[in-house]
Amino acid sequence: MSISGLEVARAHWLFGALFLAMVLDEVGSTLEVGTSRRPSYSLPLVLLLAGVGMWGASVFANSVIDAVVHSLWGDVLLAAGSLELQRRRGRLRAWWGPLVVPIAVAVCGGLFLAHSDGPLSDPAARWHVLMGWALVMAGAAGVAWVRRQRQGWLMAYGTLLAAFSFLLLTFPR
Amino acid sequence: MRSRGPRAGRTDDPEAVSRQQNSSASGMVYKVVPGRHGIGVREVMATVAHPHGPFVRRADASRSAQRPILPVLSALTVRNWLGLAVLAVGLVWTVAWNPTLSWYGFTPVGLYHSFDQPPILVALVGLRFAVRARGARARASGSEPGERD
Repeated sequence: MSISGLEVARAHWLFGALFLAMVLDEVGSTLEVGTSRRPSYSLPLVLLLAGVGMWGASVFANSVIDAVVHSLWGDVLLAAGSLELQRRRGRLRAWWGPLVVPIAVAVCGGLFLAHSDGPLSDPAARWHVLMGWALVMAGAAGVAWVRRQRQGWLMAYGTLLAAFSFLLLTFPR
Repeated sequence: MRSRGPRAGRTDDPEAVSRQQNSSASGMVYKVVPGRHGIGVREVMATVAHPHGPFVRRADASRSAQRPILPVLSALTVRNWLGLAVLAVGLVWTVAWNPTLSWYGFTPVGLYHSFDQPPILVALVGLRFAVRARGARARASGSEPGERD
């Protein structure tokens, strides 16, 4: 059984909207200074949901490389979502805790690049290359933001993640 | 607080600038510190909204270390405007793409297919964010009455 191109595009659009909501939540909560707030769980929940979705995509994959990459993707997203959830609940206090999400983002970007096996003349392959590079650069900016704590890196991180969500939302049919 | 860089002498009196900022309508209090980029870095002391108007309390050290990206507006205002901007993008996109959008009926699958189209999804995300920002503003204005002393 395989799924049609329109269904694949629909899955990308839906995930793009969830991702955009998550990026806005993250940027918005970072902007809140001096107001009491509880930690937002939207990021780890979106990561866990995406991990489950990736396992579903690996079941319905049309080729071996699709199945392998999507299953690896699912593992990375589920691990990152679980660790980030525990970190936000205050149960993970290791020094590497804040680095989990940026590194997972960069790894997911690498998997996007590995996933785009078609020629660049194919719009879907081109989109995957663009999304992969956006995620790799966002991961690098996220690591720099965690290590350096400069607002410029946070801006770069948020902008690249928002660009990735818009690439998902404009995924060709 | 940041240490003064070599450009400190060229900057206006920080206290005077800070007093100017205090009177701004945004309700935020800043320490203006000369930055390495020459435009000055605004360090937020704190801001607390209240139904009877904004008032200020001094933030603790960990909070004052954080600086907002757009310090001229209050954080919740920024969230509100961000949500409205995304909503506007979604609406403009919906109008521009109107001929390509489809309606699949009122069945559950039809509704999912109808809403799962990029312009509509962007508009829904913007709407949700703007509504949540309004809710957060309402909670912030009503939740800390004891802070006014």
